[in-house]
Amino acid sequence: MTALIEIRGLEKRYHEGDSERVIFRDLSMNIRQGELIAVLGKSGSGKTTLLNLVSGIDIPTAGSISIEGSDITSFKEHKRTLFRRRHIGFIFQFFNLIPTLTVEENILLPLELNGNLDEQQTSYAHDLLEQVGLIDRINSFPDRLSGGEQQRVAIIRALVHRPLLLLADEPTGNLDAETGRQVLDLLASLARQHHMTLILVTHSQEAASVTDRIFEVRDGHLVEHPQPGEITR
Amino acid sequence: MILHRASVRYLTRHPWQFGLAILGVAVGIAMVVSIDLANESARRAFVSSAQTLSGKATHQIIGGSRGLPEKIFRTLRVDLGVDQATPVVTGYVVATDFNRTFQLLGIDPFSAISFHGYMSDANIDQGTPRLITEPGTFLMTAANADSLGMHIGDTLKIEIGGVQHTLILAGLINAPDTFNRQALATVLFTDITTAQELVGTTGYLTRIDLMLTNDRRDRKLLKRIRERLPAGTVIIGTDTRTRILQQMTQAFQTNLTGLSLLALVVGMFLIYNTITFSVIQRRNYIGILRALGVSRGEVFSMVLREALIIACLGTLAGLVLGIVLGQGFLHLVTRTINDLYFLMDVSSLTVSWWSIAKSVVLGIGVTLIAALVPAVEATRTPPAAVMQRSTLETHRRRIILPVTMAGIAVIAVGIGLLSIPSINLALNYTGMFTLITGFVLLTPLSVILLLRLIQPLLASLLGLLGKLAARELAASLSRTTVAVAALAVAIAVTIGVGIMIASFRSAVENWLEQYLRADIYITVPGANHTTNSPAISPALIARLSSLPGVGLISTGRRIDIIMSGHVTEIHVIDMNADNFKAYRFKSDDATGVWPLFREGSVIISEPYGFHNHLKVGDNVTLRTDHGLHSFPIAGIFYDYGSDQGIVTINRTTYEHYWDDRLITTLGIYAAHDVDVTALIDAVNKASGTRQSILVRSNKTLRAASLEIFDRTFAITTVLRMLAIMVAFIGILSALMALQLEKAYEYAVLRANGLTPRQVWGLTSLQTGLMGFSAGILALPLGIMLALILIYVINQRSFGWSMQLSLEPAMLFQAVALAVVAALLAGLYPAFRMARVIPLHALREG
Repeated sequence: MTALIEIRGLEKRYHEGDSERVIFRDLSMNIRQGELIAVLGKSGSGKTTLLNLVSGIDIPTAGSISIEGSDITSFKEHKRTLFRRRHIGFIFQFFNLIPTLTVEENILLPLELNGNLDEQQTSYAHDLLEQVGLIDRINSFPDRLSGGEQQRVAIIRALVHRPLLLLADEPTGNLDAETGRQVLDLLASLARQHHMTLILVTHSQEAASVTDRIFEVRDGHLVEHPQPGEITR
Repeated sequence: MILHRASVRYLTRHPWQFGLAILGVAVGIAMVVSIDLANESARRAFVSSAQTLSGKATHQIIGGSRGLPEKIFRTLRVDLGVDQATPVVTGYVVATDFNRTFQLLGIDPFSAISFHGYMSDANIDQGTPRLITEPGTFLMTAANADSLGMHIGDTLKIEIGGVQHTLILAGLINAPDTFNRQALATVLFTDITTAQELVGTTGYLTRIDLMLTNDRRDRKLLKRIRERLPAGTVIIGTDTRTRILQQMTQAFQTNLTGLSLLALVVGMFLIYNTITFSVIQRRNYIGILRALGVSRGEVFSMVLREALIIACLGTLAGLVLGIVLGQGFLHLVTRTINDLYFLMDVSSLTVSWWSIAKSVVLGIGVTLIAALVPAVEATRTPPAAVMQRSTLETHRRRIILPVTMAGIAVIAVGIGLLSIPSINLALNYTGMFTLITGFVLLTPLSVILLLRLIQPLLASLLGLLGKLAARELAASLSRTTVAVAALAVAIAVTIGVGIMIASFRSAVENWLEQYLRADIYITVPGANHTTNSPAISPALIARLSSLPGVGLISTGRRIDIIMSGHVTEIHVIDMNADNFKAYRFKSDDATGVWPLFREGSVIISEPYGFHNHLKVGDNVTLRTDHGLHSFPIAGIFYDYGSDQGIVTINRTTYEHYWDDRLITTLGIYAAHDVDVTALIDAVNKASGTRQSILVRSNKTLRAASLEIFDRTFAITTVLRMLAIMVAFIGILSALMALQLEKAYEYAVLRANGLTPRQVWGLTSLQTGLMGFSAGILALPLGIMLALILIYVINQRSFGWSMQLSLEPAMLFQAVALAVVAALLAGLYPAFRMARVIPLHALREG
């Protein structure tokens, strides 16, 4: 299978006052379509930076990131935004639902942004909501939902427009263990069901276990962990 | 669509901020609308009245000091064969039973028909034959008669030139439309002869109206008319006359517009503040949108769309409020025009589509301009990377120095614009607004420095809480500086306009003290307008001169002449060398003025010299009754009585060049040791009943003059108060936003043992500090505005120069006003903050 994401010689440095901090140094990796990847690392190691780079939110100091053959690092900001809108779904630690939109409006927003909002897509979004057991909360505002419910809505919002890539930044960091586990299972199963690639940033070994491959950010490099049961899953 | 829904819900979920922003725009727009409508209504009423009264006339022949000899009309009709000409005699009469002033229009009903459609038989119920055959009869509109409860045959008591007359209503004019009805609402028509008898100008006409086309025959005819007109008469287009009169009030009206725009500028800060808050509060939300793929352009238009909602609602509310306020302002504007320029009556506010369109464009335009910076800031929100406000504040602090430098540069541009010696008021006001903007850019640094200065004092007085209040304020610069700047500008406007008025008043007081030297002044009632001012009868003057106790009498007469498209007001005086000292001249050495004046030179007032670019030694050309004559200028004197300026001429010289011998004012100097009150009684007794006169002591006249001065500036007081109200809304809005944001911090404080009363104290202290900062910052800006108003705007609008009169008490009051306004605005937010329930806020935080 060809790689969906090709990262070559990635380098990211930040200036902090007079000093310079290196986050990534000559980082290269391939991620196949439909593959579920976990990125582990200590706080401040650069996990979220990796997601920001892959999504085009941030740009690398050097190197390239190709997604489905397009080098997004060569794109201008506007094109990166449009690329992100079309091909990437984001899931955040703090859910980040839009407080002034209902559950339904939150999940329809990516469809509308992409100009795909029609009856068929709306019905698809409703099916997804049904699937996660929140169809009866369709007209609720986010502040009326529990953390787990909010994160489930956020997952639907991330995949409703059928992106190539799902990026999840500590999606269980703000949930209790049981709910976290349920959310992770849901995320992994939906990603597999829709054949989407997932990059999951977490500091929990247990959370990472739902993915196919596990990497750890260590001293600016990605080190792959051998993972028993990788094939069976 | 979904994004739009999110925006609308955000606005409706923050009703306070949303409502206050709308109110801010509304009050700002209301001020501009109200002034515009009042000015426009006055202008329209004047133009429509002028057009109705001149009818289809294309030209007017105007006479010299006494008017046009009647024989000129005969020459036109008989010798030159001019068919379309009609004679007119005008004057002002007071209907004593109703205490209403009317314009008296003496006409020739036959020749007037072709000029005025409403004079046709079809529009007049009876009357026309009676008007001609029966002296002392008049016509008025049916609507007018209705409002006075009069019927045909009823009598009307009038007073003209202090003399009582009785007129009989001979017929009613059915004005064909509202336009004519309004224009004729203050007009009484009589036959020429009746009007001449009433005004006291038998044998003379005020003017002759002509109706000429632009064809070759009429052009030739016009040339022949010009050749046959005697010296001292002039023929002008009717449009020119209307324009000349309109020009007189232009500077006054432009200045009002300028002041009303100041309130809108304050409103702009409020809008900027509100939109900035909404962006800052939603950085997280905007970050999420950016991460979801919403482009910068879409974020930009989302913010502008929200601003547009505020703009539309605010403008709409502003229009309604403006129309209501406009009614009140119309009264103030027309009163000033009546006091200072000419008599006019405006019964209702004219709301034109043009005024509404202008206000809509202004309201929406200003709001969108104010929202531009926060909208651009919103586009810079990094996707998903939720920037903490502390980061934002750090960013803001980093840009303080560049902002300050920009402020200094903008101030330099403002000074540059003001240094251009142009009389273009728009340019001068642009310079002033630029200067204000520059000053506002200095606010962040100034607030930080001020708070740093105050902090130790607060700490020593109030301990940790005092320190906390100052630090919290400094830490919320992104929220507080704009509100402080808005209040500072509003207070500065109050200081600036206040100092200008005080300086002006002081100059006028000094001038009156110097200028009004006689003990008693006598005029004929209704003589406040120079055109057609009624004269004092020579017999009365002779009687008064021989009264015991009268030491000396000086006489005055004012006439208007039209020269090169402008009205020149001529003041004829008859006084001795000693009384001539009443004039204060611009030149330090005025010793040589009197001999020159006595020998035939004239003296001109400062505004006249300014408007006509004249200096001592130049000549001023005047249309005398015997043709044009150039008079050398012996001196330029300070005068605050007329913004158009006057030319003062000695009576001997005047009588040499003009045939007019009328006297309209008398100054009586009491003989040594004579009681002035007793002399006033004697004068009143001596005047008898034939002609009523207005006898005023020096003190009374001075008080009356200052009363007119105060009335003129009454409107600015309202404008200043409204500007403060806008700023008050700004502070309230800023505090409500802060309260929303700081709920968590206050909950932590409450959880740590701070009582509600202490929270109240803390927030009130912060509010007070904001007001104090605004007050202190307003001082230099206010003084600067005063200098601009005195030395640039006033000087270039009217040509008046005056000394800056700075009252320390006024400055203290301004700072106190700022603190009180801020404290009042902070009452409710402080109450809300004190009521924060720690448990809820901590959970939500």
